[in-house]
Amino acid sequence: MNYLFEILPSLLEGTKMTLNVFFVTLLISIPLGLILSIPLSTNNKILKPFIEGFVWLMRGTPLLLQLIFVFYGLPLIGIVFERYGAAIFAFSLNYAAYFAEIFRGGFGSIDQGQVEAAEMLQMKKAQILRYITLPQVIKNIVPAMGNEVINLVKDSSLVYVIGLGDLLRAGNIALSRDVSLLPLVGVGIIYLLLIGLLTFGLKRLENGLNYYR
Amino acid sequence: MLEIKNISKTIKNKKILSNVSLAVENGQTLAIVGPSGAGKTTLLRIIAGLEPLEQGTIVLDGQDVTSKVATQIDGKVAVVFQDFNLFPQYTALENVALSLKLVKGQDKNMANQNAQKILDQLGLEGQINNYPFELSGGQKQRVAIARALALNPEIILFDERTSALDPALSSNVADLINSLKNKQITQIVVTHDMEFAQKVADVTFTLEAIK
Repeated sequence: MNYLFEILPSLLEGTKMTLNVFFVTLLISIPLGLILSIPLSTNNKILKPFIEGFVWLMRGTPLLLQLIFVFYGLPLIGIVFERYGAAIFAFSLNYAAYFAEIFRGGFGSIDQGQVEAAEMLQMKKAQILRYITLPQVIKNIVPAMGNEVINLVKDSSLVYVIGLGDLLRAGNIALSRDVSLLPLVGVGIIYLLLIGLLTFGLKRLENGLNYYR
Repeated sequence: MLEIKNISKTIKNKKILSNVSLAVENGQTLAIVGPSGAGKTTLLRIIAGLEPLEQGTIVLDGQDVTSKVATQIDGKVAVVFQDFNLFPQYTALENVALSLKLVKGQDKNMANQNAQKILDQLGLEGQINNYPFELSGGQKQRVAIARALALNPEIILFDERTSALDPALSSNVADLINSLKNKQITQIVVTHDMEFAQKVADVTFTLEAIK
């Protein structure tokens, strides 16, 4: 137990990076996913095929491969990212693709009659999105989004391959130095606590949106 | 006056409407009757600008509105949908006040006051803070009518295909439609219930299914 307290500061330092990657990725990928989902939900003949191709590419290849490609592959064509930038770039694009599909499903679940009723009330397209469809979409997609958000916490550990100092890397360093598995137990406990907090928050959000049916 | 001249419509290679013409004077109530599949709802959707036309013209008070879609008719035409299409995330009051705020530009207090007035007139004083799922079918219908009235339309279109299924609701709706006649609003009611049509209509138009 004392040993776990001894290595706690370095694990918490790694947790900071894990949370940083988590929040910045969410901040970029959720709005990006929403933007991408709008042409996906329509019959836009120009944008839709490109976005479908992007989603296929992002969902069809492992995130680990994408991360390695962004950090080690893109410099070959002159696009150079530092470690943190590469992680945020790869994670944001990958998660935006998943979120775009979730939003698309959410928009598909909205009765066309809702849009028609709003059109008859002379609302503009942006107003219909903001006040009518999006609130209903958000309510419908919270459970699916919650799963992805929880996955993101765990996926963030993939940044170790490009040498970013996250929680798992902090644990690995202590493991190699002290030849003990206890650091990984500490890492596991911190991940469980983070996901427990997230699950609680998501449940509250879901309940909060249940004020109507 | 609303005039519909020689309207035709084909959906999925099936002719739904063929050379339909009718006219309704301002303040009149017209019932469009006919069997299921005769194209009553399609005709109503065309008048509302929710369905594009392939042939014919629509003239409203001397102005050709044929090519205008729902969002271009300046709130002159309102629809009470068959399923009401109330916005589930908003209370009855918010459902009515929303267009007053977003479209008429009224501030929140004024929009709420005006929305409450309309809801009060329709006997919904006690339900203004209820969400649609907390309302009965008849109450939802009244909120849908209140929402339609908010933008002071010249014409209200009612899709009443279900009225024959529920005698109590049907009678309730007939009373409401008759009460709106005092407001000099032109009303077009789509129904397959002849008895209901006779209760509310000044003029009846029969659509036959195309074979």
